Amino acid sequence: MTLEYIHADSRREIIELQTKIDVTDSWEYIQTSSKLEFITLFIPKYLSAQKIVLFDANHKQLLDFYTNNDINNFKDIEIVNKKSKILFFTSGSSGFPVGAFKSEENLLLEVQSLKDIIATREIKRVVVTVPFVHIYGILAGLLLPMALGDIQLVLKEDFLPYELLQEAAHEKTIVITSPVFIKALVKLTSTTLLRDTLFISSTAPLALEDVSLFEEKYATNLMQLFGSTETGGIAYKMGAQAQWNALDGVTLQDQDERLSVFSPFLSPYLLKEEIEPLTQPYITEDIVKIQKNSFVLLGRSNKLIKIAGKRISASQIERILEEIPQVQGAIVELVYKKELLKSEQISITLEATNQLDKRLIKEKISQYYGIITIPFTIKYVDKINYSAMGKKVIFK
Amino acid sequence: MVTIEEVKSKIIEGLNLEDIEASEIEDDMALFGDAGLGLDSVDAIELTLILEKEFDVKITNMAEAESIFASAASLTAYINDQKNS
Repeated sequence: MTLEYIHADSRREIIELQTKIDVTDSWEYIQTSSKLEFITLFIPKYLSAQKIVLFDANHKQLLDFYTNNDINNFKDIEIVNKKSKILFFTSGSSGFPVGAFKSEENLLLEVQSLKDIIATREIKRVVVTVPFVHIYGILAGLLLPMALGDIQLVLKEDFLPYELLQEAAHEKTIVITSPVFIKALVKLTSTTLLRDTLFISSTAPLALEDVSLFEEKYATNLMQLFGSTETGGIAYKMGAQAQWNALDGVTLQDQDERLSVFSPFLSPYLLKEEIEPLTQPYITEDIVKIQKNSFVLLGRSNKLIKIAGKRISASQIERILEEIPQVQGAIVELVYKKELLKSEQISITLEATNQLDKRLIKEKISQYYGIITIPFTIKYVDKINYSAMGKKVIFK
Repeated sequence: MVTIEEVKSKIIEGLNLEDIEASEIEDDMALFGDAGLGLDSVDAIELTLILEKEFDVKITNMAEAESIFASAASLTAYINDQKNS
């Protein structure tokens, strides 16, 4: 694999990557928001068996958790160390940090599974638009290209839609991207055809209509991946089909309509307040209809929402807002605005003594989520009541 | 000739900034970053789509986008330059 880096001024450079360095026995966090810096740090560490911690440094709550808790001192870390290579951090269903340890076996088996799906394609270039700090970026954007061997990995810190289109138009190209770019490319007036290109998208499922429009407009191919930090990849689908098919090695069942996963990609251990072994099957928060070893996604069972691929806990934002002295109660809901690239937004309903400056609310949320931009709207109600089950209901 | 007020209105409408009035966006206020309007990289992509749809102006690379997207004033100047060229 060679790395072609496109600088902000559009200059192209082939970057030589180190492959071996001296490593330590400790877990080391790679803290950078630059893709180029990340890859130059990550690859030699990874190939030299350094234990690596990854998460988005803009997520202030995760950074605070990591800063205040030395991973190397956790009880049972010695047991974990024997099996683990990368520790990803994410937000759990309650909004508090969860670490997911990944073994080398987890990573290699999943990369092989992805490689098998695209085995019939001849690939010369892999263009990556997603950051590497999340599991999708590492697996599809870095470990998969490394496993493909003699290919060119094409990186740029930020792409605009026309820049991505130009890169995607090269022959035998795969584009590792996210729904934002797929939806943006649908809206362009371009008439470029991309018959020879495969786009892979993850972080959030695309609407079937967007997939159809995209594939028809560019005469191209789109594959989506479904998974999470804890589970790794679960399923994939090609084009505008409704059903997600299990990745090779993954067995799917339903438990009270929730997706139940047996998988070689599941983290062996999670890190919460302490290290916990993860037992199989893992029950996700996804409500599904299972058909053989595939499923149709019907929704999610909790208030964990994803904004631009980042997990945001609605319950936690409610708690954050209720810390503001003027707020007696808050309800946070996901609002889907199909016409926007930032289609997932949050609607905040407040019971408060007076209307608050929106900047105060933004600042309060930023104290937990850092500079993640969460689009939100606010409405005020006289009273938020609670149902007999203790759930908040808006009294109209 | 596109006015700066039109551009501000299209930014608000296109990015769904429901709580912001055009009058709150100063002409030279930074559109990106915490010090200004607080737009991010996804908004930059959305802005390129808004420019193409509303003003028939294409932004094809990030290098030029950085200076064009600096403020409502620079954005308006670029749109009018393109329309006059």
